[in-house]
Amino acid sequence: MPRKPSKKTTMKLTPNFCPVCGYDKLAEPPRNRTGGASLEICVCCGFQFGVTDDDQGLSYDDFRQQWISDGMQWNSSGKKAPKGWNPQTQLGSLALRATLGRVKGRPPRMSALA
Amino acid sequence: MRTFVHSFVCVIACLSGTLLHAVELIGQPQTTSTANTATIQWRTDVGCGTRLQYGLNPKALDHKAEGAVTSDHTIQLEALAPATTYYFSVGSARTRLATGTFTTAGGAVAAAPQPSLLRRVLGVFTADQNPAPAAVPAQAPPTRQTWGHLDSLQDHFARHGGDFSSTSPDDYAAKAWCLLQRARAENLPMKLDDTDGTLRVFDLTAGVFGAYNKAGMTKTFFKPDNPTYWQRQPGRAVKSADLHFSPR
Repeated sequence: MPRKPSKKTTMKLTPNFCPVCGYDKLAEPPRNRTGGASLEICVCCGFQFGVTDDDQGLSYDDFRQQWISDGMQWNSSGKKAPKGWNPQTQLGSLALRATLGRVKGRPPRMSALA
Repeated sequence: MRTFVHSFVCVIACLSGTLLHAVELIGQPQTTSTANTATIQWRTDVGCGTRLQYGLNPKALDHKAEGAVTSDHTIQLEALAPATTYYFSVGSARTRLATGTFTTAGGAVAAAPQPSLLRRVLGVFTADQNPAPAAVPAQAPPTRQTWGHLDSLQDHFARHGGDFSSTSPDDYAAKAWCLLQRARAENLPMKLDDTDGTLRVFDLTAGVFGAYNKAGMTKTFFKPDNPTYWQRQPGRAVKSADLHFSPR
């Protein structure tokens, strides 16, 4: 008899997630459905949608690699990191999203996390 | 033995009555401030500890000042930023009795008396009813009325405040608000993204960009480095008279 999927194992997907670091509590989606940027600064990695990319020309992948090599520090000085925040777990969720085809751009390179 | 038990019960009753008495605030906290200092005073019905927590964000009062056990509480804060609104809560280590705000003096933000809230709201939200270009108001409303997500202000200020020599997050937010008022008064280039109501404004002369949500509150404010940044921004060109901000 097929087992019903448990609610605990169902991944909650929100559009308000950062495609750079996987933080999923942004105030709004990074891009609206017509491509307009939210101009929000990700409190976790510091990427500003519509500025870091559109003005400074950095891609999600490049910025992610930089953030990882800088030690994956919490960026915001106005908002504290959630209790138990783990950047590696967060990047793992992002990689899972990428494999589900919901993210444009490459998932984080696991070798860089080691 | 009975006398001893009776005395013991009486002592316990007296102690619990003292300990369980809820401390109450008498009146409201009084604040006086200069450009760099502030004094907050409050009274309680019984003596208790003195603790004041304060910060720039009402949800993150990340600074703390403490004093003696008393019923007349006074805390003096020093080395504050001028022309800045601070949020605070007063009480003891165990209870929070009241919250409030104060604004330090200095700068352009905290000078003349403000027009009523109704007048300011009408001024912001009824662009279509005032087609004639109006003079830009010299004084911005409090930051909580002009900045979209208050908890993001510190990060935007840290990143872009230097573009405008801003002295504080409030000063930075006030300059962002002024750009929108000037854009409406002088018909600066504006683009409205109908998908989410974001209004983008660009001052060609100064190279300053601002983005505002559908309620007219700031999302970001900075000077782009890329010369084609404005041309690549989404949205349809709008004039001041076309703007219809909705209350948040």
